[in-house]
Amino acid sequence: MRVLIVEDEALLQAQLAEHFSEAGFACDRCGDGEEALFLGREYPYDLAVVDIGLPKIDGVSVISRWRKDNIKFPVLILTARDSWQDKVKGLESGADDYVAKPFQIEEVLARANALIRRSAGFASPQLSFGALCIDTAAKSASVAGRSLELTTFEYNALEYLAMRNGQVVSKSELTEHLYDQDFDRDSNVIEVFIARLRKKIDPNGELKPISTLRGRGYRFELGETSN
Amino acid sequence: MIIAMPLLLGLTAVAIDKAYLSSLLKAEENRLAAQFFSLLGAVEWGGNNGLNTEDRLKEPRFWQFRSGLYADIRGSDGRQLWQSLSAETLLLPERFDASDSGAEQFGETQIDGQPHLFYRYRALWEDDDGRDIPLTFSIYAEKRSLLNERAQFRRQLAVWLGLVALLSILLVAIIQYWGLRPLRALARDLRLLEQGCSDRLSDDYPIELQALTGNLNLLIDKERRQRERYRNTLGDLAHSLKTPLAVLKNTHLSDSQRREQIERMDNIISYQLRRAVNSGGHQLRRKTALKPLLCSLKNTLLKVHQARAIKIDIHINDTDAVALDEQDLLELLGNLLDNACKACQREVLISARNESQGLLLSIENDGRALAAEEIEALMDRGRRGDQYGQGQGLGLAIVRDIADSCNITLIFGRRQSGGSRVQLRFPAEKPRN
Repeated sequence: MRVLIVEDEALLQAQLAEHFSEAGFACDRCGDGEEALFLGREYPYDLAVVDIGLPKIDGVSVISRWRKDNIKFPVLILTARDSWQDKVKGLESGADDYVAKPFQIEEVLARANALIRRSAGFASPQLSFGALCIDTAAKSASVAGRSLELTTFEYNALEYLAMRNGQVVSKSELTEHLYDQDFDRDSNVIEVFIARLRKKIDPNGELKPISTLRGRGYRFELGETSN
Repeated sequence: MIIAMPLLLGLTAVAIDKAYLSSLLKAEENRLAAQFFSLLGAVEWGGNNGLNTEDRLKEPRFWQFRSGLYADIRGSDGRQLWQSLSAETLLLPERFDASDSGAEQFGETQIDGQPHLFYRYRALWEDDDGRDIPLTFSIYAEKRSLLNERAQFRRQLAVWLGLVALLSILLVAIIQYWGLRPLRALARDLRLLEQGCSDRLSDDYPIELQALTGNLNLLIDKERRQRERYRNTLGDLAHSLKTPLAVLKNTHLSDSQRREQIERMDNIISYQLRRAVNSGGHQLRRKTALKPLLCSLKNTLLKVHQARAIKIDIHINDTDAVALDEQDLLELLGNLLDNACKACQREVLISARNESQGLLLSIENDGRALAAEEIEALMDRGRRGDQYGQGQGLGLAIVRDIADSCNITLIFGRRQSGGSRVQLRFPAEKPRN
């Protein structure tokens, strides 16, 4: 999943980026509202974490303008002012959730995951697709109770495809959502991930969770089953 | 006002003077026309002797030498055919624009260096042979008498208008003095306030100013309380932070202990800051409508608790409003509604009804019913807000502070159909003066 971190305090920005990267997110970051506005309009993020007090354009205005431009990715606001007036103002601008400073990074990550999951239409952090279970909170997956040993990128690719089950996801879309803007787009690393994922999830070729649509991309074929 | 009055009277004087002069001129024109008709009746064609009036012209001033009233009759070639005896030795105007037959002229001319008014009439006179002879009759009257009359009128007008102006100025000055007396008193009171010799405006003002002075007093009180609250908050903040700081100074602390102290400090700062910004309940008689504010909070909370698919119902009239600062009301209701959302199973219900003691707002949830000892603890007004931990009632402590400072009664209880309920009784509005 690709996240945009907008925070003007350099140290906090670096800490957030570090923790989000450790949690398997591809991170783009910036320190002012103007750049945030540009990046949000330019790239298809899965989530933006936005500080309210930003130089050039404040966070609330940035979010309002994104929403006016019909940019729909979920937005988590960080605010030092946690009065209800500020919360209402922030969420009415189009943000989806807020975290008051100072915060525990675990809480920010949990809220970020929940927002991404909810924006894809999943209420529970545990996603079940028949024998395949994905725990978005623990960032793990299992097949028929057998835990899968997935690398961060493999897990991210699986989660992204699973959250769009039944939809065709192009290779470039997958690349954009798994890697930050500095990634080399010509690499065939996606094909390698998908091949490895198939082997790990379905070593006997019985489930066939991901199909390749030549020239179009991949499709997660398993339907969601209730827990 | 004092300057405007003489200006107004001056303009009035000019207007009256012009109107009077116009009426004098009209009267003079009528008089000269009457003299013309008497001359017309008196004059006769005497054949070779020309025109004569003999003793038929009764106006004595035509016979009196230089009486100020003159007349002459001229032919179409401008030759004088007859002149009144009063005009002997005077040169009456010979050249003038002859009007058409039957037309009259009235105007001003100079005779012997003096201004005169004239009335001129061109008539056709039939001689003995039945021929029409065009004749121009001119009647002249000195303008001096008219100017004298006008000068006398002006003198009288000036005297009377001067008197009116003086009286008006005096009256306006008295009205201003009496009318502005309360404002001067207000300015004096404000100076005393500035100098620190007084702490509020007196209540002894006319009814028209009482709304202003009442609100100024509220503002002054609010500002003073706010300052006091900031001072107390800073004191409390400094005092409360000392303990966790002292703990943190101890180098032998585990990560969890350090985190616990930081969290405690965060709670203290949050609580004291939110306490400091509450307005203290001194709203300047401006009401905040409940419904739009509750709708904003509902939208916010539905987003915050999106994962739980909560239902929030608002049964409030559009006109329901309370005399409370909007920020305080948001803080108060935001915290209570957030607690209700956290506590509910699926549903939160907000309703209000107007009672004689004031508006009663109820927030109900279908979650766990509060135990008797929990209700007792919630109603305990002596509990210090900064002793709550994160998520353990810090919001409630803020609610308690705002409610206390705004005279709002909080009633916690159980809901009859299961779940818990908090009611807020807002004080009834005092009647306006």
